[in-house]
Amino acid sequence: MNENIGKGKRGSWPDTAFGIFLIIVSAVALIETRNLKMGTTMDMGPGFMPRVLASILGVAGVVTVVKSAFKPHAKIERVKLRSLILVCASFAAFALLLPTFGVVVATVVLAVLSMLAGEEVKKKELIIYPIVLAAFTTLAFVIGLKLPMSIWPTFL
Amino acid sequence: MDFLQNLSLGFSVAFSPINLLYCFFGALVGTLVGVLPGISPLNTVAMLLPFTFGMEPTSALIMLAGIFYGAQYGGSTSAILVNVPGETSAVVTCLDGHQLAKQGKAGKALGISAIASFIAGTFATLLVAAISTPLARLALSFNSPEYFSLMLMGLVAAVILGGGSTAKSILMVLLGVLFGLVGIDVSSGAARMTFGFPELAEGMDFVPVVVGLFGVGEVLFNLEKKQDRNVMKGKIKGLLPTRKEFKECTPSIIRGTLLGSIMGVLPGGGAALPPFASYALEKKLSKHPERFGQGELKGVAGPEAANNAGAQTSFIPLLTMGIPSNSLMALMIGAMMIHGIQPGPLVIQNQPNMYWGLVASMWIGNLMLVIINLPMVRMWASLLKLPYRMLFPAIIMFCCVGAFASANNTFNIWLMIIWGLVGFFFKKIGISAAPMILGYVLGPMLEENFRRAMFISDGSLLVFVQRPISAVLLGVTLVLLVILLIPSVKKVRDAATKDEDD
Repeated sequence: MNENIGKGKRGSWPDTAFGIFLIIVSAVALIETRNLKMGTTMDMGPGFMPRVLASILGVAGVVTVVKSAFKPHAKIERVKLRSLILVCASFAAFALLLPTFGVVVATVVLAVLSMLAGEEVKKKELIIYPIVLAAFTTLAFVIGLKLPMSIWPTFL
Repeated sequence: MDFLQNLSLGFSVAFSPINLLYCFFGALVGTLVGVLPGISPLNTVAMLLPFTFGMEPTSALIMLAGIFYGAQYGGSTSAILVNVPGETSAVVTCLDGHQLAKQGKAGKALGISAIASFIAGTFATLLVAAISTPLARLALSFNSPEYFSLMLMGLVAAVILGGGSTAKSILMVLLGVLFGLVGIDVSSGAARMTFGFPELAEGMDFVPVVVGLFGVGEVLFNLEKKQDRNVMKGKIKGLLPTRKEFKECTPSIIRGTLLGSIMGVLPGGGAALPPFASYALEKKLSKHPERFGQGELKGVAGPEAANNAGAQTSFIPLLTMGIPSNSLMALMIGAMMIHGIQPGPLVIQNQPNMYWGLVASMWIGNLMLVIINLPMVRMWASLLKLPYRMLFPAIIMFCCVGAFASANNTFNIWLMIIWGLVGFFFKKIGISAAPMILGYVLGPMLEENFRRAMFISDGSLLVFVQRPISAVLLGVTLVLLVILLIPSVKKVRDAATKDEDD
């Protein structure tokens, strides 16, 4: 084995994060299913599979976290919060605006917010692109595929 | 003569104007996403899935399948011209394809890759047609213990062949199974893990989960990377290889086709692994292994044949037994169920039109792809110059509208955002979400068959080894696990799947 192993930094952050994720999922599942019947192996209740799975995942999560501390060092690349928040905001805006403001407004807001998330923003594109995208969405999905979305704000 | 009759039935279905149109559309979109790095056939199928709701199931499946194998053609274009694999399956094509392009032989590389893909596609279509009837007949004798063992084998094999840490992949499968349990329990009527949301009563909708994981997660991840590409300058000329070159490449194409066809059928197979195997084989058999990596035409022909053959034969386990061999096939299962088709051995019997139509459309699609790709290659090359900032807002829009369309409510958009963040998280910590999707799709079926098997056997686990077919399947699963523990096998697998993402 490598002799240098003991000298370098330790701890694999990706593994730690994965383990914590497993523990959280397991805990949430166990709490959510606490009132369901377990049953027997012959006649399994609705709680059987979820609780068995959640328990396995929880134990595995703890093991992963503990083991990650002894693994060779690995870090998680910094998250670019700006683009992450802007993209999520563009989705959220679409979901919030669509029912009352219609697909045109929702798409324009979605396009502007998401374009700001890119690394390069050009003014001219910021004006033209959302309009083109809104026109395409309306034509393709509302008029073409007849999805039940209103085109313009419903209160007008 | 059943075989010919079936095929002619298939062609009559596939040649209907509407199906031809969807086949063409699928192939075209497939080529497009294949050419453009940053969008994979997986995200595209996920995003377009909700828009097929209004279509005939046959047309929908023809189109979605077209996207998958179309992407294999398009992926090689960007690999050759830009040295960026449009798809993971085209990673190998970069090696020699881009060298050829640098030497001014881009046209030849593109030509041989399209021809090789077409030959492989033709053979694979025939294989799918020939092998599926007997396989489905065999699967008809299966009962719940056999199904349980078969699914278990499929999952284990997918995990083993899928790359990455095996322990983590298994945990991902279990996570997927757990998420698949959300909703009202079929046998007791109790709501499980719905957090009081009535929208979750029938389970988490498939579309927001996959669009979130593969569409949104991918966009979030790509936005963190610098986007720069060096598009090859200069003209593309001489699309056809000479007769001599073609003759030299023929054995490689045949070998690549066979290798791809076999690897595609295996669980965990698909289009990603076969090209690696084919490239290694060609290099080994070549009298001039040193030419590989310097612009060897055979190093393009073999792998290109292999990835296209693999893409198509990976439909076999799906269509005959309802077992997805990779995450894209899991999406196809989702598509079938959304259209009210229960995947399994009965599909061939009950829906012969759909089944044979789909098979025949694969060949037609391949023919269309040669036409879409070769004469129009300059157009695709110019598309490569499209910067990512022009693409991702449109992808985001597609994700949103798709999630909305899956249930006509905005609840699914919120669900998609959550899954997008989860997908982003997995990308960040370097874990593939593919095993989770397999678990998610197979989970409910696994539970149902397990319960039924327990019911038949009065709660005895021995039923799985007492029934011969089930015992054999479990034995194979065990052998697979043991093989994985052999160090040299592990090494090869790690090397082969290093670049794999999906």
